[in-house]
Amino acid sequence: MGAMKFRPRLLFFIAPAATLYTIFFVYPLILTFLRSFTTWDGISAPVFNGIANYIEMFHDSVFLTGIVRILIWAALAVVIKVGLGLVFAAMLRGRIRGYKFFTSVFFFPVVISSSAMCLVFSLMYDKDIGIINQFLDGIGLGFLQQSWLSNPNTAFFAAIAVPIYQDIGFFLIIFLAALQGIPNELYESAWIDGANSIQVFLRVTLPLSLGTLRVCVILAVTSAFKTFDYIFLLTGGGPANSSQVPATWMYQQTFQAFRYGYGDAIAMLIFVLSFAVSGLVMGSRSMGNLRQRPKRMDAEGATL
Amino acid sequence: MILISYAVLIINSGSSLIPILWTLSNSSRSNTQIFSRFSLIPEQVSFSNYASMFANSNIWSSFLNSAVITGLSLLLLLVCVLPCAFILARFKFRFSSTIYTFFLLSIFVPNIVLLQAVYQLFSSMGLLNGRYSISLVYAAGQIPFCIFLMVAYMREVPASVEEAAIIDGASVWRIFTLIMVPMSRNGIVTILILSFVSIWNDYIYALVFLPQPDRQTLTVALASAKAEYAVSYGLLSAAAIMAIVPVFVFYLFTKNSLMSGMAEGAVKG
Repeated sequence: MGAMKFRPRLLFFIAPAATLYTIFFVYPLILTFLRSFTTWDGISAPVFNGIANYIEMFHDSVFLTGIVRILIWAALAVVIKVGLGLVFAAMLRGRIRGYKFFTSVFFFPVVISSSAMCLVFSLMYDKDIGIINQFLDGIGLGFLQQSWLSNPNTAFFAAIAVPIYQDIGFFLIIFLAALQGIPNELYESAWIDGANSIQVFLRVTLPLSLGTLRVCVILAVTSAFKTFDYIFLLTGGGPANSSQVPATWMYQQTFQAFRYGYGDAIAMLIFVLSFAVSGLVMGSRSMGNLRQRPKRMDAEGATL
Repeated sequence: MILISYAVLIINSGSSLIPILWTLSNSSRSNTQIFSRFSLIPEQVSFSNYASMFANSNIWSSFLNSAVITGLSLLLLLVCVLPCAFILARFKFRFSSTIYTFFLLSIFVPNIVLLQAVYQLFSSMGLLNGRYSISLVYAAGQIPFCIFLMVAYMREVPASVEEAAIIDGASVWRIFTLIMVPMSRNGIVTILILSFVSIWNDYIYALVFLPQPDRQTLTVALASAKAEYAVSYGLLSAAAIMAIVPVFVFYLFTKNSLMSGMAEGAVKG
């Protein structure tokens, strides 16, 4: 690298990307930030109102419960998506028989669009023909049957189950790549030392995939913060705002209530939250506590 | 232990496949049959639901819209990303790392955050009337991540190749087109596949920017089909399958690059 001499006219190579990116990415981000301090209906001129939008957010009960919901969602996403992804990856690491089949099948839902997936699941959740009610009936739990997406108690969980279900394969693939990078000798010496599968998982697999685990936690949490499609398509935030999250509330405030300034403030908050979580997880030492195991590993890689 | 693993893996395969198989089966059944009982195997193979879906909805034209928009976006993306990544990967100059960081910072910005500002920008620039102008947004949205991946790929090209070309008197443009682009084709395939999936599957931007029925993309048309054909379950199943089949074919051909690309992208990002 660096064998060629740089001349200013080579900046033309950068120009297309920089132009497009500045106009349609950087500039809108700045606009969003500035307009979050205004009252604006999208037609007349924006009126500066200080931090009134941000103050309103903290009195907006729909928004606040929305924050609680995305925190629950993030927790479930980490436990289920990341957890199952890691467990499945640990099972498939040794390229057992059927490896190709399982990875292909698990990963396929990841590439299906949110709108196709929501269509499939709105049929599955259907009160009359849905596979879920019929399954409950079949195993004798017929009394649990209901219309999952229109009952305020179940709508939110029914809706977030779809992206959680769909993403397991994504995390599986990430962990699989990480686990296959762990040298086989570590596993072999653990087996020779008489460790069982659970011990191998806890003392070899888990500590050695901490870096990946961190990235996966960030991805799972931020996806819960920013995901819009599934809630919007399956419940629209309803019934009676019972499944509203900040992303859908922002859409409603902006494009239906025409409160652009307030919508921008919510958008900024989603950005700040995602950014904060990324920084927090990357910089955290608390997750490093899990790492005590490898320190006590001898030169051959066996845990002591 | 291995038995437990297999049991778990098989159950999960079932949960991955059954929703799609069930929809596939229903797409071939009549509403009466769907109501009467659950079945993963249709009573008959019939395409009447597909026929009436094509006759009564704009699924086909929206499919074409999606294809053109995605194609244009990917083209635009390559035109922007390849030369830019080339310069950032192979040259050291005063602001090179500043420019690189400038592109990277936004990987953390969720696209939903920019939705309304971009919408306002589009309407003030008069771009909302354009059939395919949404490609600009899609390409711009993919640029940061793709530059990041391409720079990594282009840095792996050995310097000796480049030096040999310089000795032979090749210009920067020739080094770019005849050496760097061909030698980083794995990276190009990766960014194309990943960007294809995210652009083809986008819902929210297409919904806001292209509300007119004749301009809808496939994802938006599917969602509006649900409102329109509320209880025609067979027809809705056919629509869902219609959206899944092209993705499935794409998946069969690109599975391996897709998996390694996603894993790589996530970990490096």
